[in-house]
Amino acid sequence: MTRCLDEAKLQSYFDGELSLDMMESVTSHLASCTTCAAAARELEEESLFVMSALAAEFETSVPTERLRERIDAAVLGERLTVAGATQKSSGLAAFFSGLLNFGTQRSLGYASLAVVVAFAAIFAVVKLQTTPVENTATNQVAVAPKVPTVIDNNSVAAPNTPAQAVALPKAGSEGVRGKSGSEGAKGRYQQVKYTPPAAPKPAADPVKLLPGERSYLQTIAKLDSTIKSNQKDMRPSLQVEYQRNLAVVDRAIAATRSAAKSNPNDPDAADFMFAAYQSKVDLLNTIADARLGGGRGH
Amino acid sequence: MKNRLFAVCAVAGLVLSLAVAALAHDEKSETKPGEKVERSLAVDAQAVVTLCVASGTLKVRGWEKSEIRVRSIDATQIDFRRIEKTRDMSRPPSRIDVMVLNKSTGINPKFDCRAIADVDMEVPAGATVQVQTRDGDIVIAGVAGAYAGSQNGDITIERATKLVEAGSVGGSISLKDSSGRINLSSAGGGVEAINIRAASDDDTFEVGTVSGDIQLDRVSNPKVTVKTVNGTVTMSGPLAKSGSYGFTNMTGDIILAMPHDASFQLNAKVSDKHDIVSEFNLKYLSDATPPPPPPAKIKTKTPEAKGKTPTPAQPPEPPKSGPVIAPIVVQKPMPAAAYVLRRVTAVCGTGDASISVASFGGTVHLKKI
Repeated sequence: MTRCLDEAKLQSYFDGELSLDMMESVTSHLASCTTCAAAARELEEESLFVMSALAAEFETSVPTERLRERIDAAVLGERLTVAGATQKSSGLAAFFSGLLNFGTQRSLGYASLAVVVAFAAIFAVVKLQTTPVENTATNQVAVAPKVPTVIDNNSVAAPNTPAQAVALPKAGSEGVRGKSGSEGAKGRYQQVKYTPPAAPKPAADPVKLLPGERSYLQTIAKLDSTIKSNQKDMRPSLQVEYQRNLAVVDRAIAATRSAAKSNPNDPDAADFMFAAYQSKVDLLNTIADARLGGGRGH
Repeated sequence: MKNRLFAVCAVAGLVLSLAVAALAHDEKSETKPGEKVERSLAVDAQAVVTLCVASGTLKVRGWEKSEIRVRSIDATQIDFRRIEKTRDMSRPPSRIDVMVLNKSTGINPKFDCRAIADVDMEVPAGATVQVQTRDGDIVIAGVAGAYAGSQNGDITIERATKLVEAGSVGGSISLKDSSGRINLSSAGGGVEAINIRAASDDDTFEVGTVSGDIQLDRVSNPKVTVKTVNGTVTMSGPLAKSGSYGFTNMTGDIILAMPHDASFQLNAKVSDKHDIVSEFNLKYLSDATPPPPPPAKIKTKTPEAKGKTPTPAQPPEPPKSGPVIAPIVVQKPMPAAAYVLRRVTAVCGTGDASISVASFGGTVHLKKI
């Protein structure tokens, strides 16, 4: 062998991939050829460098072919065992026994499933607490979808406005009425019995604010939140008086607002509505001051 | 030996100082149950005095002395706090806080306005008092100015000379024989004002309720404003010449009882579903007002016909400046689906005083006394 060895053959030599004859031939050539011997040393050094750099990776146990065979045999035996048990027990018991037979992968699966269920539960709870209107079926029917509601004129603003949060139904007030609402409903939201509509009805139109109404609603909302922030501190006698007079004012607002709405070109009709709103603002101010105890007003 | 003597003296001094402090504390604040606590202080004749408790009846009386005196059976301690900015101690204080403390507050001044105690107080007749209680009643008499607030208690004020501001949530308010600027408000309680007059030309009289009734008798302030949501408003007495009276009511009735020679101009905004019942000779002004109701719906009601069925309308006299309606009962029209607001502008006599009535859903009565 007079010709110099190429790099591929040298690499195969170092990797032990050559036949015995070729190994002897290459060995004898390297002993007589200084050029190939130098190339072989250089290639060996490179191999050592790479091996040292990837030592950590190579230390990781890689399943050998024999190991793979043992795993496959074990899995096959497991299947045969389960199949035998299935023939002896009922399907349901087999199902639960399978469920309770925790392997490593199944454990991970169960853990993942548990995490998903937990997140779903949390999301559902949060969603239920923050949903503004819930139409709960009261009588053997599921949740009613999009039941139209008549919204109290004085308590709800147009959508996407700051005053929209002014949902101020009080005990004794008109409040939010459902489609089939009873007059006795005093809660914030009323349960609505769902009856399947004959034909799909459009959703209720959002309440349109009359000119100048928004500022009153915003003021009332602020005062109302102020009062509600510490309503538990309100004495029962004050609470009763507050609710009684609030109902009176709310009725006046509803009546005057209806009149103002039906007489849009009559400024006097609007004046009545504003006077009713102002009465509510005055009442809320009085209650807020009284609840805070007043103190000395120097 | 010296050290032992020093220690004995130190201990004796400590014990003595503690005993003196305890005695001083007892003399100042401790009272036996049922024993009256009383404090007095010389003040400016026009001092501003504040007093507030959490619960209890407060009685304030003006007297001729330049001194305040506070008494209470329930209190364990009464203190005065001088709050005026000028610290000239040579002059009597002009702004004083009366601190009432009892078992519910301890002696901590931070618990101001939290005492539960009935308090009687005398102040100079020229003083202005500001009193507040949560549950108790308030009685004030013979002071220059009175600010009074109670949540559920009743407020009674008499002989105030310069100004009165009183507010209650559920209690009633009664003001008698007073003058000056008046502002009375109650949510659910009624308001009564008798014999009220102005101390200066710009003294206004304002009263407002939500559901409480309002009763005014002989209120002669030049400007009177009355607002209620569904209380009944009753005003009786002569009108101030060139006075301005405004009444706003949502659903309650408005009853104005005036002398037979009352002279006023009426501007009324009422629902066409409710009546304007007048015993006065009203003359319609045709300017800027809608036409009067059809004659068929106008019926007279003379004072002698009270309680009787209204008789058909007499033909109105030919007016010089407009149709004359004397006395009228504007009957309810046929029920209408929509709300219709009617404006009535009329004059009685020479129209000296101005009466504006806005009733959304109540009846307006103009009566003679």
